[in-house]
Amino acid sequence: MSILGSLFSTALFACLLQNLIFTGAYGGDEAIRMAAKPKQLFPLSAFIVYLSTVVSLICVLLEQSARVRALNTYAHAAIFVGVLIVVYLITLLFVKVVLKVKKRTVRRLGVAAFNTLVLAVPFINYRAAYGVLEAVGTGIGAGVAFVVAVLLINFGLRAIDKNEQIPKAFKGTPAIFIYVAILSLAFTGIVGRGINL
Amino acid sequence: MSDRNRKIADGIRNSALIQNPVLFEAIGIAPIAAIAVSLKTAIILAVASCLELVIIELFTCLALKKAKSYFRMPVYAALGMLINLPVFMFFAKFTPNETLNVGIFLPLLAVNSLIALHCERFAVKNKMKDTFVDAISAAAGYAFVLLLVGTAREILGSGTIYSVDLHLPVQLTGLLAPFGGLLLVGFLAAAVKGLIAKRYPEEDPEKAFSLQEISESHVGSFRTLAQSEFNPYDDTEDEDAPRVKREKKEKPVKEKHGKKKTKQEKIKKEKPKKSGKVSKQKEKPDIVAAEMPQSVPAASPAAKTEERPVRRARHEDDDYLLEFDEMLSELDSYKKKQHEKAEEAEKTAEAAKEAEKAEKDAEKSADETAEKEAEAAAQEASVGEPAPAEEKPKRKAKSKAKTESEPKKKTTSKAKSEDAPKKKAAKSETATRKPKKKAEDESAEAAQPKKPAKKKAETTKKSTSKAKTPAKKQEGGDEK
Repeated sequence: MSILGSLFSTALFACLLQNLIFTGAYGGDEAIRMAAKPKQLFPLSAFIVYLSTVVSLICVLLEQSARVRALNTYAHAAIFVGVLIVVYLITLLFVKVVLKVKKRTVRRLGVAAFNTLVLAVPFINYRAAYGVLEAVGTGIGAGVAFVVAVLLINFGLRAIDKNEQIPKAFKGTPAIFIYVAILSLAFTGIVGRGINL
Repeated sequence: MSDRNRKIADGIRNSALIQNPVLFEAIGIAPIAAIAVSLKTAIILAVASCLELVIIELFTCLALKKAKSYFRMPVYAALGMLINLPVFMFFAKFTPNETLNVGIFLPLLAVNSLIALHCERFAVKNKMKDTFVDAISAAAGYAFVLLLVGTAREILGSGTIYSVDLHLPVQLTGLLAPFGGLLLVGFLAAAVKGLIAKRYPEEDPEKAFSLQEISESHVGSFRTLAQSEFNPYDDTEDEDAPRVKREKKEKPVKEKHGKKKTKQEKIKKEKPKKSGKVSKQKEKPDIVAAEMPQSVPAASPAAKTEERPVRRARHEDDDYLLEFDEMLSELDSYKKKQHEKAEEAEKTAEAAKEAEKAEKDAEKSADETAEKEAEAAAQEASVGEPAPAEEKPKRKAKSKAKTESEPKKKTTSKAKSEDAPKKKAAKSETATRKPKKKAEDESAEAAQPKKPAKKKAETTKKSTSKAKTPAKKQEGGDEK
């Protein structure tokens, strides 16, 4: 139960309580662009969940060695990017050779892999000194947080697209940014950060 | 030379201003919203991102044109990390505090979507000069937004600029949070869009971020997900697909169009069969739709670009048909009211006619009673003396003439009905006067009874004298 508890609590924290997209702006541009293309949501989010979880797990396992722990921040960054590239290539080979998927699926894999959200998860684990289960939880939570963010932004974009009362200067991306800012404000309030105006 | 300069100027304007990667394409927002909190951090991020973009884009134009897209992506990440190392070391020496504040976002710039998008969209398809212009203009546009947002947030949030205290009375610390950065980016995008609309009214920055697919369903069938093409960097063409495959791709689309038309024809054929069961409410929009001019395009099968206007038209038709239903219901209620008014008018007319008939009957009965009374009075007055036979038919003729004239006067109009009681009174007076007159006449006649008796006596004498004379002649003849 403690295993499931730590996994579930970190996942919930990364997904809802401290949504990485709204509170940290990790993967915000990908979320906004995918919100405008909702048909691509589920395959992309599936890849993001898989990649963030696997990369996070591997990086935490590498952190268990003392040599890796002794390195500085930028060396850790290089290791994390290297792990991400390796995981991507392996999954690419598996998807192309074994599953024999089409090019569109491969493109989705590329976009999901090289994403600020996926690379930010091992950094967060490194900064917070998470264990294996917690790292897996943050990986899953990051993927689910991406889905939640895209859905919320998509609902807002539909309303913005239909609303004709928005001034011409604010139509399009300005209204989208302001809407995402309001969502971000809501999530910072959930986190409990005070704002001294 | 002027054409080249114009092309370069247009290229810079498009990449830096009209298609600004942050403001109108929504790319590279993470560092701006999260970390561009001061001018120093903004400078670090701007330098790192500009160097990465220019170097990687030139490298892809030189070396990675023939490579496949799924192999280019990890190359961008690796090159980005290699470029970030010297930048990080340089700034770590001169500004160690700010590099600590930047934190993990400096290495995260290696997987910035700005680099991947510009390389895949532009560098792979164009020559070195054009890619260089595009890289510099995009980097300049990104750096401009970074610096502007960083300075604004530092001034408004911290009350400083480049770590120099400005002693401002108000500090909006909320702007230091990510939502503050997004707010500032939104308002900056609106301001730049307004400037573009004034300066370059022909250009439309909204094209950079299309919202055509926004109303599509999240949960589609697996077929549609599998059949949908996905190219996040260029929605127009598929680079890797050779021309032969492109032609093959077009054929099944046409066949699908044909199949869908047959299905639509079947649906259209089925519709009139079912029309009998359709409720009255549904009949009205069909009738209305048939009557209205066909300006709305018919539901055509599926090119992605055609789906969007059809859906919008359908939504518009739904609202339009609801308005027609409301109008038709109002017309029905108006007709009902008019029908009720007509019925009421008919009822009143009938009531008036009945009243007139009743009046006629009453008058007739009154005349008859008056005549009877007059006759009775005349008979009483002339019990001994025979009433002159000539006067009786005259009186009857007069009464008949009066009765015939009176109803003719009454049937003309309702207004005359008001005079009916007056006429009645007049008639009653005449009816009463008639017996009076008759009595007076009878008294006058009674005062002169002998004259007719004398006349009768004379007539009788004459008749007797005439009778005697032939008798005497005969007696005279005989005597002879």
